[in-house]
Amino acid sequence: MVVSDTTKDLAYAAFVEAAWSRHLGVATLLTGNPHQAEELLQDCLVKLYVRWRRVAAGDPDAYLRRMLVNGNVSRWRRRRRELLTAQTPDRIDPASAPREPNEELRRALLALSHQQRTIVVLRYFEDLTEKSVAAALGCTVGTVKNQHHRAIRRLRELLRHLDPRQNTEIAR
Amino acid sequence: MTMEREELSTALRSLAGLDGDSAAPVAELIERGRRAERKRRAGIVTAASGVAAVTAITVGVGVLSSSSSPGGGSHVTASPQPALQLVSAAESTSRTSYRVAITYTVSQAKRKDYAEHYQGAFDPVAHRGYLRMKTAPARTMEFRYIGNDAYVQRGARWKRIDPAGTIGAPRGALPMGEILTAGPKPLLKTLATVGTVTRTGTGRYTFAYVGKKSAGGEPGGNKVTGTVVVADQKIKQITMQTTLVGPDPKIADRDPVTRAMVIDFSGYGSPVNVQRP
Repeated sequence: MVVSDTTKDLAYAAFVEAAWSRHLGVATLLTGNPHQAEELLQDCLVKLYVRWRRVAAGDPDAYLRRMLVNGNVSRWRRRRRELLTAQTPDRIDPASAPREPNEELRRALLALSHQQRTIVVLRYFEDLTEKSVAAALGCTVGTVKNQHHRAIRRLRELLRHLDPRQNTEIAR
Repeated sequence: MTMEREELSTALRSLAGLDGDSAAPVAELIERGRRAERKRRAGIVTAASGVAAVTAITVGVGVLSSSSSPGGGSHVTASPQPALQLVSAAESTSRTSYRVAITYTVSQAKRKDYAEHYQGAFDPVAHRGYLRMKTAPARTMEFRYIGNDAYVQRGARWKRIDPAGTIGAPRGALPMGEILTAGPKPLLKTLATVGTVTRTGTGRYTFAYVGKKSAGGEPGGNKVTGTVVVADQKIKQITMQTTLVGPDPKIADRDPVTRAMVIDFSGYGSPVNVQRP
């Protein structure tokens, strides 16, 4: 079926309007930085526009999610070789850190590996099944289960270490 | 298990900041998507956004340089005298502040032109300046260059960035940040060694060259033509027009992509008032 440019643009615009907020949330949690998240999401959406005719027939949400995951890893690899002074440090001296639960959680997430962070975000923010997470990451369900277990254990350790009194929001 | 799934979900939603304030820039995304689609159709491999700008001097100027390398474009004929006159004009302006207005247009048959507009000013002595890019109605992106630092404004926020990675440039265009901070000198200096530069009148020059098929993804080679206007021993305007030549001429000729840049230099000696964000 031939789709005209106008029809394509309308369908794409409707998708972006609907998906923007949720995927921006995913990107924010993956990158740990709202500005980088918006850049990542915009870059992925531009690529999605180019592939829209093919992707629209399937599941654009899942496709975009996978683009975000891969794009975040690529961005990290690229930036690892650059000298970026504006990069938010992954770890900050706990003594100088503000004690807001959100900030603690953000730092704890950034302390996880990319794969573990992605699994936590997709499982708990996107409410995806282990099978869907495995599809997004391109790995097996067994890997997802294993890394999920390690990620939760690491989160517990990190949050407890920062300030056990304020961990009541997400841990008991 | 001590960590409750629901509590972690709630905490992540709070951390993600889903307050609904951020509206999707749909028009901008569609414009960028169309542009990417045009490039893709033309078989152009564009360098990745920020990193591209590090090597972005290859674009335009870089293509010129590659033509002069051993085994490069054999079409190029050196004509140093008018080119050196241009370099001389550029040298005389290299220690003076200036304003820049850049219009970059991508045209393709049967499609609406895509245009980007930039305005800026730079003081090469104090090494500070700014560049504003109009990306969509009511959306302006600003870059600031202070010493060795560079900043970009996104919405109401400023972010410090790598000065070399400010604005990427597609093939056939010059990187905007380089134009601002380096002025006309690099381009004109390169023209002194490659390409054909012809003096067409008082203070008016034309140039032309063919970039070779490079290993950097250039599908065929770009024929680049342009003009330079000099007045009072200062560069006033540089225009460049590039038509993509694809690996298969039949495909490229059927729907050619043409890129044009008009770079106006003005306000020589005017103070540049820009502060670190």
